Amino acid sequence: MDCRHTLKVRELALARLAGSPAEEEDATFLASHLASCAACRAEVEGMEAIWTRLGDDDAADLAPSAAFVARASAALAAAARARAGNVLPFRVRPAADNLLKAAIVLLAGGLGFLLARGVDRPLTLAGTAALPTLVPRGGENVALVSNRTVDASRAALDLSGKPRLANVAYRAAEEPGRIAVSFDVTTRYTVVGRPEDKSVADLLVSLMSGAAETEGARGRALDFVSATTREGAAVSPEIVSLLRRTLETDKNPGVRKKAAEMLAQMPPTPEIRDALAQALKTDANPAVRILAVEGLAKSATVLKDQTTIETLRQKAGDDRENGYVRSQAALALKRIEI
Amino acid sequence: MEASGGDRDEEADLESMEQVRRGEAAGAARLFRRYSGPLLRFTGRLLGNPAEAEEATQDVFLKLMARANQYDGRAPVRSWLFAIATNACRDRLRRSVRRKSVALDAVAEVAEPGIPVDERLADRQRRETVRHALSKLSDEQREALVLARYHGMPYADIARTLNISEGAVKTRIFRAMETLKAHFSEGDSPWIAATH
Repeated sequence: MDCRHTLKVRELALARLAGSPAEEEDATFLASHLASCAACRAEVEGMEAIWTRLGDDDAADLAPSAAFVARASAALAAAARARAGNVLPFRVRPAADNLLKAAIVLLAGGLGFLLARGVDRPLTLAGTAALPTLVPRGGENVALVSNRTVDASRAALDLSGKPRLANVAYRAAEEPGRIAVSFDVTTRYTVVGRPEDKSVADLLVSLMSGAAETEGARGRALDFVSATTREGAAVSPEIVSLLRRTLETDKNPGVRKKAAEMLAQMPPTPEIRDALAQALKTDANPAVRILAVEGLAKSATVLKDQTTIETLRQKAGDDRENGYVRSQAALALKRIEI
Repeated sequence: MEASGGDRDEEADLESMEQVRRGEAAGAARLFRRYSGPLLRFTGRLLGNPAEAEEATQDVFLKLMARANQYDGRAPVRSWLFAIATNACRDRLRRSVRRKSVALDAVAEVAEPGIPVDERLADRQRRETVRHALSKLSDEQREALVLARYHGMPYADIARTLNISEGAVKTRIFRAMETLKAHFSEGDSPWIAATH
């Protein structure tokens, strides 16, 4: 197979077979490429044939036999009897202390970021309707080349035209503490800078919202921001706002879980606290509510916030709530009191 | 936020887990009814032996009861059960001499009255061919591929179940498909030869 897109085509075709949603732009690329490339088409047809052939084993997907059900049910009943009267309470997870320590470290990082933002340079951008605009310091013209790396500390991006960013890739930059986000518009751009640099933050927000409408792309952007956050880097207010909107409105529970997890990891702020409190009250997914409890526990500890403590108290005593969420809320209150 | 089907399933599973934690047999029974079939098929494909698959599946539910207090509700119960099943299969495979190919009589028999004998035999042969092909995969590749192909798990859930990254899931499934492609193209299967 001589096509330079072979690897990408294989990956996308396999994801499609496996039912993991591809980004819209990837699906479009796959369809158009397969229409024009016989070699890749043959490759994908081969993969589909193998996938279909594996279905010949579907006939073995029978219900458990009556003998097995009877035997297993007896074993489970015996185990239940043995456990009766010996029920263990929820255990406090040892990670709780580490989370608190991480919160303090992140808080320190966040304060540093806020201080830095206070003396941030003014933006010098002019916008266009369709493409991100590069405005170098000094007003020089920027020649368009096939691959271009932009230093975010020297130029800013204007993404107000909501350009469609394709083939997005994330990596750590060579210089410690910096990250690199690459994408295609009419040329391949790589924006290098600290996560708190406005260009980088704007780009990430753009990818997590308008420029990445599919679950896969949103998830990847969230994962990348999450990994950056775990490393103790500061988080821009724009990203916090976007995560809040995601938590409130995204229909995919997996995406909401990621948003809640990231907000819970960040240095507590009133906005983060309110977003998590709302999720705890209204989110339909229990895992999201448990993550919200963890974040609120941190908020209550760091912000010394009585409202949050009361929210947790109500949840711990809410008879309509799932027992796991209630228990987590009770444990959080216990930790706060300690 | 309106609850999706997935949200409701997770909520129901959590309620069952809560019952298990309180020592109520009804919770384990409900989870058994819901997951024993999928887990039996999963362990069957990893172990290649129906009797061992039944033992492993029963072990999963006994461990579920024994470790209920360790479950914190953050991961879906389904992922947790499949993770326990994966570890149970790995333990069994480590302890026993690995069967690289599953004997035909070890594959679960489909008893469907009304289907002609020759058709049933052809089904069995095709199934045996697939089982044989799956046995050519490494344990890691087979785990990921089986979860994706036969249990419809998205990459993110497989990653959580196997405790690996999504990138590793993609790599394992991709390599599994490459191995199967080489296996099938070698024509070492009578069925492949007969159908091409």
